[in-house]
Parts: sequence; C-alpha cells; structure tokens
Amino acid sequence: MKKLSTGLLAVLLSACSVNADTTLSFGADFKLTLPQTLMTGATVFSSDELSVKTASKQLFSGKLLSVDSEKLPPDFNIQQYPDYLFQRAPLTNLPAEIAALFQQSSEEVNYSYDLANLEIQDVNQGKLYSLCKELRCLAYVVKTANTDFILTLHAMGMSKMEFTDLIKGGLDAKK
Amino acid sequence: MLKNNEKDRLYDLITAMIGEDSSIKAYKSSFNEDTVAVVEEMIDAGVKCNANMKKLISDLLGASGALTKGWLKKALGMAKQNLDITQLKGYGCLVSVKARWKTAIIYTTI
Repeated sequence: MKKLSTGLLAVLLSACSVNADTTLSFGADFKLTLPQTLMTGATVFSSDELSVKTASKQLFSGKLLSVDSEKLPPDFNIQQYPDYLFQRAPLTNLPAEIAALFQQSSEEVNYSYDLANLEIQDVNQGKLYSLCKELRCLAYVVKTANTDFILTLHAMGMSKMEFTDLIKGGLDAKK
Repeated sequence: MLKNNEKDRLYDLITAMIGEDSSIKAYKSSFNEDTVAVVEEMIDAGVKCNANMKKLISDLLGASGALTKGWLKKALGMAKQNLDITQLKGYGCLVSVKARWKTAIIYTTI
C-alpha cells in the first residue's frame, strides 16, 4: 500500500511538472511563457520593466510601450517605433524634437547592439524585430491588431537563437 | 566591494543621467563592482544620447587620461568633490532606452 501511494504521488508530481511553465503577462495581447528550466532558481524583479534573473545569471526583461509611456505625440503610430529606431523609416516626417530622440536612441542602439544585426521575422499575429551583439539582445514585438502597444524585450547572457526562440516559443504558447 | 561614499557617488551619477529613481535607490546598498561596470557602459553608450556626457566623462577623468575599461572605478575613487553633474540636462534618448539601463543596473545588485 505504501509503495502504491508513493508511486501515485510520483505520477501526480510528474503530471504537475508538465505544465509548470511560467507566464510573464505584460498585457492582454502580450503574454510570454517561459520554460520551467529558465525559471528554476530565478529571481523576478521590477524596475520600469518586468524582469527575470535566472539561476545562471541571465537577464530577460521587458515592458509594453505606448505613446504615453514613451512621451511621444498622441498622433504618433507606435507600431512604427521600431522602424524609426532601426533607421528603416525616414525621421523627416516627425517633429524635430522627436526625430532627434529617435536619431540619438538609434545611435545608442547601434553602439550597444549593432543595427547591422537586425532581423525581422513573422511571429504570432505580428512581427519580431531583434538584434544581438555578443550575448546582449534587444527586440520589439509588434502585433498587427494592437495599435496602442508594442512589446520591447532585452536580454543579457543569451545567444541570439536562445533569445528569439524564447520569444517566439513564449508568444505561441497556449495558456 | 564599494565604500559607502563610492555608492553615494555612483548613485549621484546615475541620477544625473536618468533622474532620481526610487527603484534604483532601493538597491543602492547592494551596489558593487558589477554595478560600476554597467554604469560605465551606460555612460559610454549615453554619449550617443547626450553630447554633454562627454564633458561629464572628461570632468570625471580630470587630466588623468583616456577612456579604458574600468575608468569609472578609478574615477569614483578620485573624482573631484565639486563636480557639477547637474549639467547633463536630461538623458536625450527614448524612455525605453533609459528603462533598459535601469534594469541592467538593478540586475547587478541581485
């Protein structure tokens, strides 16, 4: 009887662990599920972002961006944010002060991540813009149907493949 | 291990760049060598955001020389006491850029 109970408990625990992934919820349309392997022994902390420091000292962090949070004009199309930041759209259409902010930020991103490393991929109902330099990565997720928010994510201590796989897998996960 | 006055000075530098921030202040007592390294990177990258950052760096370095890795740790120990770090007048990059560095700073203390 004791053996049977122990066996049953083991099966139950194993069944529980199958769905033990953790979801970071940034908003209704932006939820990212992280695998249990990443979350075991991790520390979750907040600053302006929702962030995870893993047991192996990797950083994975993100936040939603809107025109309000970024202090941009009300008529600014937030879905174009990555295009301006990554120099894919001319800044001449923007007010001078905003154009300068994007120009300077673009140079900062180039210094930190190298714009030449930019990749754009289709993801779950949107696009993923990502770039990595050494083991530091930056990404933006734009969802076609959401015109109010985009998601930015960044990581330290991760390869590009690990970073983009986490995002693509995490966005696709069903909870 | 940083001395308390070095932690204070490091926090002053951070606030000069990105403004007073209670979330970073909450971790000030845990500032360490890794925090100094991240803030050094933030200053190096921040030159792209705000040209006044160059003046801040030269003031921090004094006449002592060039920007080599680890310059901030040395500068923290010998920085001029009357350094005017209020002259940066804003960070000069988008809010999300600033947020990324805030997270990187806190990350070093956890």
